[in-house]
Amino acid sequence: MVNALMQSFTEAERCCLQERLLSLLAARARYATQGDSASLSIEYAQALLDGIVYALQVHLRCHALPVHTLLSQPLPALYDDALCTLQALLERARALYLHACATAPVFANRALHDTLRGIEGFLGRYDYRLFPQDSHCTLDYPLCLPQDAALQGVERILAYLQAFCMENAFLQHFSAETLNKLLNAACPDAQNMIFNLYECAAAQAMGCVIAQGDLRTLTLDSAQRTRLQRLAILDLPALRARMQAASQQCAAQLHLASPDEQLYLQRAADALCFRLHAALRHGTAQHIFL
Amino acid sequence: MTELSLLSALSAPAFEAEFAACNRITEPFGLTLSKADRAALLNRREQALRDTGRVEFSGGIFQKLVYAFCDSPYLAQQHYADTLGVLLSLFYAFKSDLEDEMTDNDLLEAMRDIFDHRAQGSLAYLADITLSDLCRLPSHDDCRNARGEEEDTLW
Repeated sequence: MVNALMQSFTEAERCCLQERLLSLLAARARYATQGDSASLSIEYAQALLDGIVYALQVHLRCHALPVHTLLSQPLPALYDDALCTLQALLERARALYLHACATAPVFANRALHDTLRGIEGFLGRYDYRLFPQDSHCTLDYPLCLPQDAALQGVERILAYLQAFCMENAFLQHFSAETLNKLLNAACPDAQNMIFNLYECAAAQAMGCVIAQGDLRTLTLDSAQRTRLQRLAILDLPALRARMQAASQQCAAQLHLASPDEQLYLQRAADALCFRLHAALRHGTAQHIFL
Repeated sequence: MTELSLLSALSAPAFEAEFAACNRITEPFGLTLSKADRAALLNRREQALRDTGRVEFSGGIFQKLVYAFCDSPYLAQQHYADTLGVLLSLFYAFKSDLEDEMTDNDLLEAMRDIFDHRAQGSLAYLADITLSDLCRLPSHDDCRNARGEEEDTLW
């Protein structure tokens, strides 16, 4: 983490920043030990240093500040500001978590509910003052679109919750009965399996748009499923274009108001293309369009 | 880890500054450190920190160590510097083995108590004591509890 930060500086600047960081680390070590210990294990000190660097990087990112601010401003003051930034992010994550719980599908998927419980625990014990880079939280429930693996700390949870809430917003356009029927058809043990509910519903919704099925109930009859087989004649670029168009039609028909939700659906459609293309090449898309 | 390796260099001046203060404290007990002793102790400290995988951010511990042991009946000028060196190494080793469950002051107190009584000034005895022995002072309940030990019957 520190090495990545240092790459933006010249050799002389690196030395200066290193001294500033170590001086700040000494202050944080005093805070961490409450003055009870003059020395620390290297692992603990390294974790503290990583925490300082993470906090500063998040602050610079959030306020679009140039990286050289680390040299031009007093570091302790900048670090105090960084802690305020982290606190604000944590508050946002907490608010988003409540929203996520309120809008989560009622479908009893174990991974989904375990993940929400895990996030609650994380938000309760997250120590943004000492180890803000920690993101020890099991996010078993997979999202439709993978998260940036480089994200750490509260930023990781925040990104997860934002995507999760967008998925929930989409799923809320369908009744619980519709979703139960679809998800149980999609997966033999849907309550215990680790799979994404949104991906399943979004694929079916786009299938309904393409084959003119019933979007509200997410149902396709056998004639409509046969029509979807005709997508096999399309090559990958044409299939992507068709799926993109379907995602836009789907967003319009469901009245997805938020541009983020529309974009998420488009990206989900794009991600689905490769799976769909492979499935159609092997003769059937019956596991995608149910 | 390269940033942290600079720490001993950064804290060395603070450590150096402690020596002058320490001599003023120990002179009434007939104990002083020469310049050569200081250099040797500084090296010993760096080696001990390296060996135990620790870093120190500022001075302070050497002065505390001297305060804790200067009136021990088992310290004499002819082996004063060597004894301090060993005590310093043992301090970091215990600190590391205890996984920081004991504060600096408590650990020094426990070391001094054992050194003066059970060890009768023997550094070899002190080096061989168990972590449980270190936590046996009545004031070290926190450490004992953290290590999951029962109340001691010896005290």
